[in-house]
Amino acid sequence: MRRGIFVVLLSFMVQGVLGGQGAPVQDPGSTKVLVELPLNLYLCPPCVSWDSKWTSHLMRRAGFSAPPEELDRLVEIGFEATLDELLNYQGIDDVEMEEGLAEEDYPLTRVDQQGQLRPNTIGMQRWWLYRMVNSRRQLLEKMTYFWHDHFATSVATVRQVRIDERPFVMVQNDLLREHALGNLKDMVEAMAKDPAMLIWLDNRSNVKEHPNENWGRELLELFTLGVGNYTDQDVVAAARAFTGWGLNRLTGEYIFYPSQHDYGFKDFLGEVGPWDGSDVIDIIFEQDVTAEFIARKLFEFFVYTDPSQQTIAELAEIFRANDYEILPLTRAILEHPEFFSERAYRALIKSPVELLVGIFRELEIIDPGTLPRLMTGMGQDLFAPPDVSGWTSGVGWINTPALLTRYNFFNLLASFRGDGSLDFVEWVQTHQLSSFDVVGLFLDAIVKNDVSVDTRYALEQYMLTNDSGEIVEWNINDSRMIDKKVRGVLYLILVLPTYQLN
Amino acid sequence: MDRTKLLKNRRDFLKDLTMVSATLSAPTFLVRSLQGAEVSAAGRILVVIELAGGCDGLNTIVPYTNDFYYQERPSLAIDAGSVLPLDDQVGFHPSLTGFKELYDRGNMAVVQGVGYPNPNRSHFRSRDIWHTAEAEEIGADGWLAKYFDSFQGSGSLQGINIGGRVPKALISESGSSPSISTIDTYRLQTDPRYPGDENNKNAVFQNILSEPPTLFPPFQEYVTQTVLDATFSSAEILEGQDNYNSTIEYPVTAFGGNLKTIAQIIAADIGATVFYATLSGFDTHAGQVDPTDPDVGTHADLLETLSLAVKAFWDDVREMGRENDVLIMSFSEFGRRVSQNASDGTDHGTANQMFLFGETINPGLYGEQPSLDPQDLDPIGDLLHNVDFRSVYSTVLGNWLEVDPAPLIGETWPILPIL
Repeated sequence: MRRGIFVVLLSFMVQGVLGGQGAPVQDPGSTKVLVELPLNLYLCPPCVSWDSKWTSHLMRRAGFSAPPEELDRLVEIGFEATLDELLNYQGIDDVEMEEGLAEEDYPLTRVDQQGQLRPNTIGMQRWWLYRMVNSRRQLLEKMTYFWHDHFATSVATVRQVRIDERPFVMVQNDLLREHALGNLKDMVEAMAKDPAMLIWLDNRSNVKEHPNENWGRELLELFTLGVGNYTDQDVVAAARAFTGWGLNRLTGEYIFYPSQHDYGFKDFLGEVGPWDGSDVIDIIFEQDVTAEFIARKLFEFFVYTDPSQQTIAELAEIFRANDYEILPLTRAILEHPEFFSERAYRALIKSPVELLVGIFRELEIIDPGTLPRLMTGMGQDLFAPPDVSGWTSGVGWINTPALLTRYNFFNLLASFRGDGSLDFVEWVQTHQLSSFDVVGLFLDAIVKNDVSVDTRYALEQYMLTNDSGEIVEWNINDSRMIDKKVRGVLYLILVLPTYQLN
Repeated sequence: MDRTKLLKNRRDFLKDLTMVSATLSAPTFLVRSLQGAEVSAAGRILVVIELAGGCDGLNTIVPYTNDFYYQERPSLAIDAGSVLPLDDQVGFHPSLTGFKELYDRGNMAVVQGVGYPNPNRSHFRSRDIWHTAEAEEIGADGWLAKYFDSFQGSGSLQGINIGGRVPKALISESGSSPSISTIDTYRLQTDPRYPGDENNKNAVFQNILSEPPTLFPPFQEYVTQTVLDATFSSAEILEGQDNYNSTIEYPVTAFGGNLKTIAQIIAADIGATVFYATLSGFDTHAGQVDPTDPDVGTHADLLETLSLAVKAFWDDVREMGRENDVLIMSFSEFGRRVSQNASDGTDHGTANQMFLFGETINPGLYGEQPSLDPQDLDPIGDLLHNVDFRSVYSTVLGNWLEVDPAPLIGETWPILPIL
């Protein structure tokens, strides 16, 4: 099955033990037939069938894609059950992932040249990527990733490590995961007291005499209200309200310093009182725009950009009615007719995380191995967003050096011939695959056949074109031809613009 | 490297794709870059340097005779004895030795008190304002991209960003400029075992890219166009890379490396007119200076990085004999609050300086250092600007790039006698 093919092909990155690595390649013919529209569910409007296409769409968005067998399983259990698995993640046993992760034992800290214990960024990245690739709680990891981008905090600045040797940025990551599908107001309150955030946005040094506005400003602009929904005076008032909020540097525990707090009256969003930080958060959650700001951002993360105002107003209403519980909002988005619309299909650009975790999941590679280094070149270092506004998603991912890095990675993948790589020649010969079979298998597994007739034809022609540009016969006994062309066509499919879309 | 052959290949490639694009909307970049050759006829180059995060202007060009400055910044103020004076009122931060040298040589102009009405203190909004040159309602198009678009058939290759993420200034609805990190890694690799198959792969590539992006608009088009930009610009740079043989040592910083990349591309002579580089980290809310010595610290390090890299780049440009062709302009999205905070840092402010460097520049100080008297500050406690940044943009567009600035900037702004 495909599992065998890709696991072996890509095992050069695998540093852990891999179950299926040595398994004999089975008949790939059976993989050519996808489940034929069992029509377990119609989502109306617009009626789409719960088939491989829309299952794959849901899993690319609500998770980090899925391998073919998993898609087959989800098609079979139906939409409601799939959504239930995603949303009610507590019911999903993830022990296997947790155990595997514990076994990997990625170092989360390192000792720097001055003898200080510091975060080990690569180790932390591998830790999280492992979770993303292997967790059965896909939506939980996806949401944690969303909130990491939302409350963007960078290890480049926050170098401190808690006394139990957990880096503060990891503490924050744990907190984001804990609240990822919980209550937004609880999460904002937790972020206001989160050690990494207190350091990152300087609130630990926000004191009565000279307030530091960094946290107050970004709380309003980026985390809750959005630009244009407050004034600079509100920023000053918010900063004053959060004076005296600090932390214990060893334990990371939140500490309130009454002597540094400004107990005076503040005019915040038109409400006057002796507000402290918690009051400010209360007032923020009395504003209708807060629910709209978050609903829009989450919709644009999951569905498509620039939704109608009406769609957002409806979702915001659901969010408020559920007292800022994130789960019902997420459900409403994932069930939304617009989610299953042609406008939404392949209408987002894969971030490097989505691209690479996606390949690993589609091809069933377990260990993220060298991925973190590649991701730097593609413009996304987990735990190190460029600034507090997070990454510029969408077309922000697509610039020339980032694309070259992506494409050169695909080339590396397709042309790897080291230990454990697949013998394509043997594969093709054993299963007597024609050049058309190979193209068909790859197009289905990698891009769900989302290609034009012309592209498919060009790829089929490529398989039969020799170095002099002449069309020749597919010769199953010509090992050189097979090795060259099968790897070549794999590369050419990965570089399709479609594959960069989510 | 057989340049003629490469050139011919490229022309053929372009021709093929142009024929295709005559009937399709997609690869507009190709059409543009074919026709855009005349744009850079003047041979003039603009290098824009963004100091991202909001550079603290008051600790960059220091008002070292101003009592308010010392009152408001007890632990932050640069000692009058440390500054490198420009005149009897302001002086360079002591880390700006490279700038001082360029200033003394007559290659630098400092515009003081630059800003715009109703200043926005959000990094992201203010950055957009500077990038689009629209202070009231922020438009979709970057001001430099509008400059490229104003030429019939001009193209993305007119501008090159150094680094990753392309700044909004270089993006318009008709396309985005490419971005280059280092020229060594800026190329597409194929299976090294079968070099003979490379042409076949390229042919399929070409085929795929010239397909109308009707499957999944609009992003399919965007990706396609960026791939085209990447393959072209890398081919162009590959072709010209041997032209660069500099003896100048750049400081070993990422930013120094970025300016060196610009010098390499200038030497490769691929016709780009605008280069864009960013130095980040100026958002110094805390720990802007060392608590024991205001002359050192985060901000001082950044200024040193900036000044040494610019100095090396300028020396390089002179060594190439291109000093009459190059103008450097720097900006930051805002300056910082006059009064420091308790974390040895400063919060978001307003008016700031812009720097220009060039051989043919009229050196010196322009604009006025805004008053630091608390009575003269705005309600938040920030400086009032006296030069609109669009005046500086208009000066650069009109007197350096020699186009009419009004259609690009939206209205007519006073031209400063810098160029």
